[in-house]
Formats: sequence, structure tokens, C-alpha cells
Amino acid sequence: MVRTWEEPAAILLVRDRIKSSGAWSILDTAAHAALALSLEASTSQGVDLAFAAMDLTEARDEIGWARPDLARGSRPVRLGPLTPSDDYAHARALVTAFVEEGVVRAERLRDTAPETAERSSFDYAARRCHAALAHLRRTS
Amino acid sequence: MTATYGSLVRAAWTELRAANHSIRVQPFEDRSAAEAACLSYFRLLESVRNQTWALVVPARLAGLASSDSPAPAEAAAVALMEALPPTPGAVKTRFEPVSNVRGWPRAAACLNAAADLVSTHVTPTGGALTPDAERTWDITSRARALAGVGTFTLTALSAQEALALRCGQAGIPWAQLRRWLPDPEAARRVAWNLSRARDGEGEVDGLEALEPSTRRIRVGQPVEELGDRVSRLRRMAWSLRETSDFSVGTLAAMNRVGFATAVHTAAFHGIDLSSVPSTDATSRHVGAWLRLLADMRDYRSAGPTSKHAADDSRAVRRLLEALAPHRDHRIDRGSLADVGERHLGATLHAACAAMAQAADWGATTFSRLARSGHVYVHAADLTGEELTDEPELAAAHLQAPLTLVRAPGPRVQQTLDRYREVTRRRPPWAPSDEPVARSVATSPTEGAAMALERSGHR
Repeated sequence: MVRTWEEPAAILLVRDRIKSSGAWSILDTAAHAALALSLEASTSQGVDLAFAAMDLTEARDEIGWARPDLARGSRPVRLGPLTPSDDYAHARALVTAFVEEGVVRAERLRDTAPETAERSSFDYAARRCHAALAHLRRTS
Repeated sequence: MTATYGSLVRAAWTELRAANHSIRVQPFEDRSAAEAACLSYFRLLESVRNQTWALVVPARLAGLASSDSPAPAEAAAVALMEALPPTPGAVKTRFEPVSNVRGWPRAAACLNAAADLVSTHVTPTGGALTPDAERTWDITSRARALAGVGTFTLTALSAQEALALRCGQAGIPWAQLRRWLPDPEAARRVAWNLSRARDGEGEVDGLEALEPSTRRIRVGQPVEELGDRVSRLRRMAWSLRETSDFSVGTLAAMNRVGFATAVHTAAFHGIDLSSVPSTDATSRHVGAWLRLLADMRDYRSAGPTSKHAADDSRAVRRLLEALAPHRDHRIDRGSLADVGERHLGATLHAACAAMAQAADWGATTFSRLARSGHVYVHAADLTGEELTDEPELAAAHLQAPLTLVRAPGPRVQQTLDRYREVTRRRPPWAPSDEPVARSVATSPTEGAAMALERSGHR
């Protein structure tokens, strides 16, 4: 279990679920958490986690550039650092859950975008989220 | 292929030799052709002056004149500029190059381009425009380049008598020729002095591989594009030290490139990070980048991430994954004889060195931003140790964890230590006898050239 992450994670995964504004903050939190996790993993797994974090950062920035209002209106969520007693596998599962949620929200943004440019940005963000998921799966 | 200072000077030499030979064996068709040849010759000498001015910037003249012991090469260079015959006013300014001395205008164009190339790195007063400007200040490099100008001038002047003879044969009055082409003995003596004024000997001339600071990104040529983009990021990292970009996001984007470059270069060399011990040099190098990357995640600042840095960061990652996939570590591609693989390897090595240098400058930028209070963290991200002596931060941590507070000193110091670790933990492919920052890092393409030289491919 990762006690310090449980509560904010639950809030993040449920909060604003039907609103698009949560996409930016969930990707921001997921990138942050993946990097925190990378410090506790072996170098090889840390590399994949860092690549996942980089993909998530790109996805987050893309959403922020396409819709600055989403970035401005988002409340950041911080999970804090992991402690030695925390369960690594559980923490990784939480990050995976964030990214899966990020995919859903990015794809929803893409499907409802009124303009081609926005649609293309959200599509790129969704693809980066999928790439991040692929990196995360390699760390299991 | 990008032109370098060395390649332009070599091209000028090739043209000069061809033209000098041609004028000795082939007469001019008529007087008009002879006049055009004279003008080509004067243009050539003018380009020598331009080249000298590019290396000894005019702003240094006062210092050189007042010094009791000026650098021999610079003093000789100034003397040469005074000794070279001026372009006579009676010569036509527009002309068609004649066939047998077509090499002189070409040589002049190459030398002028070399002077322009140097000028893209320094301001008219000798200040730095790019991180490579220091190579034009290096006294040994400059002395060697100036000595090269001296030898070039000697060779150019050696054709003057043949030129005068051919012009006389073509009908230009001898009296006029004596005015146009005065006895070059004094200029020869000074050029000889300059050619002997090189200070010290080095394996590689610092200016030899200098490239223009402004160049396009060669999209469509992946290895070149990778080198160009890393080069641009390196230059941005250098300029950020002094410009008012209040963004830690830009620094983080550069760190992402540094990390990705290290990982993909390891894969290129067939190193599987899951099978090497944590004490291995590659693992420690990648680990140092990873810790820096993770350490920067908490920071926030007022300035947005530079769009250029973010775009280059994305493009470099895409290129690295296409050229050296990080999961493909079956063989050490660096040991293959294939020229394309060697070129890629050299570019990757140079990119690693360039990003280590960028990290060095990034630390300076980060330190400046932190000192001036532009780096923030969420109170929630501070650890117990960082809060111990900071009651206000501790209160914020508990009551309003999303409050942005100025990054405390120990936190900033930790990041600076991470930066230092990146520059200290050398990858196994970095040359062991030189510091990283001065090895092959000054430009990715230069690094490629130097690595090819080391591997005996040039």
C-alpha cells in the first residue's frame, strides 16, 4: 500500500470525471508520480518510468498549448515522495490507473474538439499517453 | 555537409594554387582580360585583410598598439594589413572573371565566407555571440589561423610577378603596372613573419572545425537533424545563462534530451541497462541524468517553457528512437565498420558531450533563477528535512499544501549537486583523457568529425 498516495489518487480519479478540465491535472500528476517512482526502481525500470513521464509531460503540454484554459483551471494534485515502506507494485498500479484515465480524457477531448488544430493536438496527447502506457507495462 | 572554417580555408588554398599555376603557363587574351585579372588579384588581397580583421577584431587595435609586448601573431597580422598593396582606384570595379585566374575570385569568396563564419560567433567589439566564440579567443588557435593567413598571403604574393609580366604582354603600360603592382618585397617579409608566428602545437586546431552559428535544421536527414537540434539546444542552454527566461520548464526540457541521449547511446553500444550492475559507468551516467530529471519535477516558475526547447526536445526523442531504439541492444553498433553507423555513433557521442556541457550551463541558469527568487515548489513537495528549520514552510506544508513557496536553499543545493553529478559521471564512450566539456562537445558535427578522425575514417 502507498498510504500517502491513496487519498489524493482517489480524489483525482473521481473528481471532475465527466469534465474535460481534469485532463491536464491528471497527466501532470501522473508524470510527477512516474518520476517519483523511477527513483525507487532499478536503473532499467527507472528508464522506462522516466520515458513514460516524458511522454506524459508532452501530452500535458500539448493539452495546455491547445487549450490554455484547461491548464489554468486545473488544480494541481501532489502525491508526495514515496517512502521505503511503500509498496512499489501498488504505486506503479496507481500511476497506470492515472495514465489510463488520462487516455480516456484526452480521447474525449479529441472526439469533442470543434477545430481540426485542437483535434490534432488532443490526438497527439492521446498517442503520447498510449506510449506512456506501453513504457509502464514494461516495468511490471 | 556543413562548411567549417577549416574546409573553407582549404577550398581557398585549392583555388589559389590552381590560379597561380594557370597564370604562369597561360597568357591573357587581351588587355581587358588582364585588367580583370588584376582586379581579381586585388580582391584576393582584400579577402586576406577581411580574414585578418575577423581574427583580430578592430576593437583590439588600440590594445595592440599600446602594448609593449603584443602577441607576435597579432602584431604581425596588423603589420601585414598595412603592408599589402591597396586596390588602385583606376581599376574597374565590375568585371567578368577571366578563365585562367578564375581561382582568385573563388579563393577570395571562400576566405570571405570563412571571415563571415567567424563573425557569426563574435560581436564587432569582440564579445561572444555563441558558446564557440571562445575558440576564436584562444591564443593558440588564433595564432595558428593567422599563421595560415600569412602562408596564404605569401603564396598569393608569389604570383604577382607573373601577373605583372602577363599584364604587360597583354598591353597594359609598364608604368601603370608599377603603380598597380608595387614591389611586394615588404609585404612578403611581413607575411613570412606572420607565417612563423604560430604559438605552440596542438593535435586539433580549435578553429578548424568551427561551424556557422546560424544554420537550418536539416529535416529529412535524421542523423544531421539530430546533430543540428542538439547543437541548437546547446546554444540555447548557453544563452539562457544571461537572458531573462524565467522558466525551469525550459531547463527540464533540456534535461529530458540529455537523459534520452544517454539512454539511446547506451543502446547503440549494445548495453542492456537491466543486465549491467549499478556500479557500471553507463548505469551511473544514466542514473545521474535520471536523478536530475526527477529532482526537477517539483519546481515551478513564472516563465512558460520555451516552445523551441520543447519542440527540439520532442524531435530529438523521436529521432533517437528511430536511429537507436532504446530496447534494441543486441549488438554494439559502435564496433561496426559501416560508415553510416560510425557517423551515427560519432553524432551520438557528441550529443552526449554537448548535453553534459548544456547541463553545466543549466546549473548556472538554475542557480541564478533560484538566487533571484524565481523558483518555487508546492509546500506539499517539501520533505521533513527541508522543513525542519523553516516554521513558515512547515505551516504551509500542513495547512495549504498547494501553496507555492520559494524553493528553500537545501532543496536548490540538492539540484545543483545533481547537475554536478551529471557532468562528473562520465559515460564509458567519453574520451578519458580530456574533460567532457572540452572533448568533442563544442558542436555535434565537430564531434562527429573528430570521432571519425580518431577512428581512422578521415
